[in-house]
Amino acid sequence: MRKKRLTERFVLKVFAYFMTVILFFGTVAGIVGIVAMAEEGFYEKRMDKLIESGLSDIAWRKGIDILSMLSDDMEEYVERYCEDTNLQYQVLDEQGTYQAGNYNGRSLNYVYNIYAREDAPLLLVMDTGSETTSHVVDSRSHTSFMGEGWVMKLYVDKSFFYEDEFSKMFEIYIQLYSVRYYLIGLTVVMGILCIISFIFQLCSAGRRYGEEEVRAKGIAAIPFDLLSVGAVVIVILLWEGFFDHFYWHSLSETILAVVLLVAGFAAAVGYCIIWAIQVKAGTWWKNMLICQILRGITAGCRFCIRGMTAVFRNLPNLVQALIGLGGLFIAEMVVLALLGMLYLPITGALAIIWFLEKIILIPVVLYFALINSKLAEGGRRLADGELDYQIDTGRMFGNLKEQGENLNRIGEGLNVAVEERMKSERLKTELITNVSHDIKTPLTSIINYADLIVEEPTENARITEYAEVLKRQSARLKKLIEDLMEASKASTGNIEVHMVPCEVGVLLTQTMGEYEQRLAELGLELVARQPDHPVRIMADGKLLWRVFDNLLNNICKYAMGGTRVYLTVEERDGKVAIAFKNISKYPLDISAEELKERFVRGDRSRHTEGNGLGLSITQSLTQLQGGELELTVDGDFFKVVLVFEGIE
Amino acid sequence: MYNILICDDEKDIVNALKIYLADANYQLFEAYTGKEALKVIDSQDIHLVLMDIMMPEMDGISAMVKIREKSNVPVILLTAKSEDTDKILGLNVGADDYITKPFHPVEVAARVRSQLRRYMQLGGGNMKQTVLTIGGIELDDKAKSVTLDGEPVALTPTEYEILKLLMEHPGQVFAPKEIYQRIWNDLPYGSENTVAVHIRHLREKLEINPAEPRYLKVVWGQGYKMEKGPRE
Repeated sequence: MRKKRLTERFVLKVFAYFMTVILFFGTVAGIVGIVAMAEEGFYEKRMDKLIESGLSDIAWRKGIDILSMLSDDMEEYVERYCEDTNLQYQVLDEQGTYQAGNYNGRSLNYVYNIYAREDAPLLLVMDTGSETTSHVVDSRSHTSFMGEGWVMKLYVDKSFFYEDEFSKMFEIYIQLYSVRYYLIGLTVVMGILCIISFIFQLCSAGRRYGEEEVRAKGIAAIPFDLLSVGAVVIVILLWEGFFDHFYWHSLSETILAVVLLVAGFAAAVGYCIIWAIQVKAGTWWKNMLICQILRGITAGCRFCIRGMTAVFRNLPNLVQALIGLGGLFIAEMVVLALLGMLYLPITGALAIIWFLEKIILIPVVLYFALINSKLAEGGRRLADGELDYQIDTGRMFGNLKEQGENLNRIGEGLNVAVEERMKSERLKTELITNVSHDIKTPLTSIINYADLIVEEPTENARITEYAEVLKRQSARLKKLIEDLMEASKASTGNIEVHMVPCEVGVLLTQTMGEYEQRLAELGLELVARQPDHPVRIMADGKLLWRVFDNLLNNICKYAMGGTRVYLTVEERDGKVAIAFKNISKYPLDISAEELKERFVRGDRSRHTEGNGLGLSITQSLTQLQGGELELTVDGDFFKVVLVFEGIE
Repeated sequence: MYNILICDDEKDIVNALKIYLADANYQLFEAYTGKEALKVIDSQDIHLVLMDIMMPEMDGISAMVKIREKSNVPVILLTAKSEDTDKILGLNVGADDYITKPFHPVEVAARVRSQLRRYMQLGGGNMKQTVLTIGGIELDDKAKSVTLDGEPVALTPTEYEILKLLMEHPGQVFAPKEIYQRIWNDLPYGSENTVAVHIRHLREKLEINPAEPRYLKVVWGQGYKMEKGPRE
């Protein structure tokens, strides 16, 4: 445990407290004394002069008393009045003839003359030898004894044989005179000590042993403003109820007054200590009642505003707009009404206010327009498939911000969905490709060895026949796997497409060159029709050939022998339609839509080669090149039309 | 006597190929991984390699790159990978030919023969002014004769003219109409079909697999062209 600091010693604090009070009153008393002494001339006059003038005051009072007694013919009282005092007197007329007095002629040190002024009988003049002072008496009756030109001489014995007012005053003056400078020093020291002990109290206020933080507890926790108001009220009450009607006559009242003053000052010191504690605890401002009330009001207002904002936000946009416009409308009306009431030059002020309002309104409208265009831009880009586009919602608020963020999230959501989908499609294609590779290796052996068996000379004709079946079916399997891969890649767009301008006529010529012989062998007559001028489309020649190849392969397989096959090219409204028409060998008991599905063929009995993937691949390849495949089945009439955008 | 190395991790396929290529002129070696193939090539004087791509230990592409570091021997890739990108990769890193599984035995035999002839007999390819050469095709304008891998090919006069036109401008695409005008010296009125038919015949005579021509290529929707030699 560390040692107690001075500021934490309770006894010292109590001592300092009382010392402050005592020293304060000591200082005040000292100052009062010094001022009084300065007024008496303690710091200006020599001691004998000071004593002389001090004695003159008493002498004057006594002289007047004697004069009024003499005027009332009460000489025996005067005798008793002057008995056992250091004062003697004699009254002389204008010739210096003795008229009254008890002066015994012995030399006395201080002599004062009192006489009436000739021009003003009520004004008596006191002559101390060194100075003259005039005093007004209450009435002529007091001085009626004094004739014109008369002088009253007052004598004070410097040896102060008797103990009376003069001797007491003399002693006090002597003593005070000797300590007059010490008194100043003492007062100053007491004042300094008082201030020091007061500062010590402020410093030590609230410090407790074992506590690092100053906390306002108990009486010190009273809100400071409440305390101040209480103090002021008490001071006013005391003043009004007591000191205002106070006379220093009764001893009890005086004691009460002193006690009240001391208690009041002690309370004032306590008030300062409490303030110091609260300042140190950092709570004096926050703890104030006014502050707390203000805080309460602020919190209430904030709550109300928040509630209203929440309500406002949840209103439909239309109602919000109506409220906004209504508010503006009312504000305008109020301003106009005020202008009307004040009889201001309406047109000028109106113009200014109209202008100011527009200055405020224009940025608001522009802001909404800007945000709207941002949102529109974002929406348009999203719609165009630019899913990475992000709207900057930094300067938006409320509904607009929410809308912007929602649009951003749509983009993110779509991105995720598209990526997932693409990934799964890619995986599917990869799977099919890998499986195909794995199947192809054993299939190669099957095909090869079936072929070897067929070639092997044997006497058993059945073996050759069975091997033929094996060979044919494994070839079919091979074709199926190749088509499967092709279909998978085409339908997922996993094929590179190089779009270049293609001349349809040339492709048609090349195709006919490739198929002429085979069609002729099957007894099919190929009829080609195309416009006189060259027709061009954007396509990948290699993929388009595969489309043609597939379609003509189908025709070779399924067209009835002895019929004509039509291959026509037409231009309609900037589009190019390439049509393949033929008559089916087998009944087409199936819809065009179903025909395009994978693994479906025109004949359900499946008694020819082919696996039904052909049309699906053809459609996918056509779509990859931006074309459309239309299929028409009408009885045995089978028509496929490829439609591409034509180019100049 | 030619030494041929057959390399495939599938023993059955190696055996089948041995049967197909059984010939008094061929001595056949076998390997089952890329590494074994490299060993055989180091120890024997091999004239042709038939190689699978997907094999354990060392795949066919890596093995071929190794072979190409020191030897110019013809390599035919024999693989189940049928994508165009695989073919282009294989041919780019040094393969002379590319056959996809399942293969046709006759085609394999023909391609082997073709590669051996070119490698062994025509090797240097001594250029005569009047002789046009693209890959294994030689056109002697003076003798009006065409040979494929050293063997004479019988062409009709029209086929010969078309081939000569295309070989004189290797890599250039000719539209059927243009070919007709040049060969027949006449305006074509829907008679371009003739050109297409002649081209198909030419392909059947010059190509081992007319559906996948090596020399006479169809540029669909535009015309025909003679490929510049695969390794020239």
